[in-house]
Amino acid sequence: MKLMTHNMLTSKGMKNVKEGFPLKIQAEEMRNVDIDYDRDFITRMIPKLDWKALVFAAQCVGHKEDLPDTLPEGYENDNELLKRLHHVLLEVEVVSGCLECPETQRKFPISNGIPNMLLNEDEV
Amino acid sequence: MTALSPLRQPAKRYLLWCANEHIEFRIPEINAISSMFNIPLMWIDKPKEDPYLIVEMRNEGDARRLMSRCMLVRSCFELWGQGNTEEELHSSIKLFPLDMMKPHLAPEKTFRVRVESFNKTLKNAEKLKKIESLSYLPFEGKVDLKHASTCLHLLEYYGLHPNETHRGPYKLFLGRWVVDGQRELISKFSLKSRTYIGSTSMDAQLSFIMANFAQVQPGSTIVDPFVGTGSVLVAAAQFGGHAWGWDIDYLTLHARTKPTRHSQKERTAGESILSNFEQYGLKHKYLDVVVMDNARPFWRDVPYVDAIITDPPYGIREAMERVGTVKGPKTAEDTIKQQSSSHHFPSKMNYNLSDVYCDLINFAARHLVVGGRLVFWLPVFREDYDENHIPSHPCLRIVFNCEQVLTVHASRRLITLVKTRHPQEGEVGKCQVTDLNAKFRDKFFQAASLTKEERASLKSMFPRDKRGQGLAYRLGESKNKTKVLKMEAASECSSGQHNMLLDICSKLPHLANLSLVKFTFGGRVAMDHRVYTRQFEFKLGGRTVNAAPRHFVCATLCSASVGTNSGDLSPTWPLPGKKVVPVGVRTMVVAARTKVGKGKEWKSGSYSPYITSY
Repeated sequence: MKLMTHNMLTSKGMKNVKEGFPLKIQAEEMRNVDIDYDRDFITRMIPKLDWKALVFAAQCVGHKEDLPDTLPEGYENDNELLKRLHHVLLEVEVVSGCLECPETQRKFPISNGIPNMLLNEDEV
Repeated sequence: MTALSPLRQPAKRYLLWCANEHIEFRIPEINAISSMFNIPLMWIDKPKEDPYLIVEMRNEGDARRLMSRCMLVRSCFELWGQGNTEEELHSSIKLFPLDMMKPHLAPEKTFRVRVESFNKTLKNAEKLKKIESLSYLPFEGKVDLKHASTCLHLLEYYGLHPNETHRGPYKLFLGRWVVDGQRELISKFSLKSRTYIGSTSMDAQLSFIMANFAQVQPGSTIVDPFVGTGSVLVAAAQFGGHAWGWDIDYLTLHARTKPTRHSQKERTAGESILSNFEQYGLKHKYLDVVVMDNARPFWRDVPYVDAIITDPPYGIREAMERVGTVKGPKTAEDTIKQQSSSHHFPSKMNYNLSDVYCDLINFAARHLVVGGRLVFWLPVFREDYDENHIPSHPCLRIVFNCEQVLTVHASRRLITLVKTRHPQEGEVGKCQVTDLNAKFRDKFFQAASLTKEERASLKSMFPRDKRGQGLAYRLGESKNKTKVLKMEAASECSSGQHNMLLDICSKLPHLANLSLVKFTFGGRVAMDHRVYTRQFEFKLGGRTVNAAPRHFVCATLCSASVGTNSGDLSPTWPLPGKKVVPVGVRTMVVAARTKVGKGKEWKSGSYSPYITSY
């Protein structure tokens, strides 16, 4: 699971959950992959991301030092930052571990890099 | 949409020679591509069935850009002349401006003239004569039959119906070849060589057409909420989209389902949706896949998607699933899935097909960017169909609606919707989708309680011949007596397992000589599964006719099964004759007798599988 994906996931749809975002990442196995840098894609995605959640996720997996606390103005022209963002968003992957709902502490397992967001019968 | 007003600047005419299939998709595909690239395009001639189109575009650059994504156009020619007779053709050519011809026939260029005929074979002597009839053209360069810089094509079109070819050509064209379309992607991305496939994998050509309808471009974000094996996303990735996919089926996402390829016993470690992307150098476009239930999505409520391209369940082949409690026995599949308490696979209950589409429509309305598109297949029971069956939402507008006929009774429609604005509080979609499974299965299994009239009408859905054997269709009983549809010719087949499942859909009211008739295919085509036949005897509406194997494509059993995997139908040969087997919409089983010939792994004897369709 890439951190870009994590940034889009929320447990708000669950019963009794108000915000459900961001989910906490408990990583067991991580890996780095090589993904071609696509500047257009990164700059298009940035406005859709929740920056604080991204920083939080990066912290969970030990990549915090790469990112500033807030998204700086004029980021579109900061190639250095964009490249680091690209790395954190797309090249750092959680292979196994779990995602935890911040309110109910319900754990969603990740295996083979694929998160499992299915609820049980009693949670629906 | 395309610019329908005349182009204000000088324009050039182009002849688009099209593939002879997916006819209803042809013009929409061109419209989608031209509007995506802002190519102004004016239609000069758009016949409903003939495999060509004539358009005006500003210049060759526009033509090349259009063709850079086109799957249903074989080649694009700069049109130098046309006519209904040879005389008309030559008069038309003589009116074509010389200063537009000369640069291509100049002394430093090499040229070649090719004569092509559609639906008729011309002898070489005839072709030569036709080439010589063009000698009045200002040829100045040298002939080069192999690597000419200018290729002129003289195209003679003899219509679609084999019985009319004795008359002269119906239309003639002379064009200078500009560029081909993208049909070579079809074989490059064929499912036959795909690393990971399943019974629901979408064939390459249709996946690319879907990506075109969705106007995928480099930099777009694409999602598939019923990703299955990722076949639809692979095509979108090839066209530059970054892809997310999800599915409720854990086993499919983890590539742990039973393999659908006949020759394959087990899934290998290398199989996964990611491996499909890697196979074509597209791993850079793969974002993630997630196990998720569309009835209970976990996506943040922001519009982050440029296009949703998907093939939802039709309610027939795949059990539709939603997490919930059901007071019934767990299916075997559910039991297998409960491997450990840390991976609890919730038992699932069926929810109806309309809910599936409603969830999809609502997700699209909330999560597409304004201007983003939703492209999806919708199963249709043809007799009942009307436009209200298309799922709708106040924020989504219909762009395209193209039908692919699967059987006499069922088809699927590729629907394209565009988001016009963001929904307000409480705005939801409306869906009233026919569940074909329910329709056919309920009708069939409740046969005992039917009235005499109902049973009689049911018979027409499952027509049989005198001996009570199921037949695909009773020709002439179908309401729409339209013409023969096009054919995918099969190459010779050879193989082992004798599951001869052919998707055949013919609407011809009668068949005089089967070898000249063409059949079309709905859906599934062969995947490394071939049968060697020498002679094929075909029972159709009471008659027996012979057909050369090359008219058929063998389809694998995987498309015949009910459920997510192949193998629900026992893959033996022959299939039970008297039993009408409910099979997936995409398949029919052919009633025929084969005289079995040589080839290893080939059982001797003669076989009589049966046609069933619904």
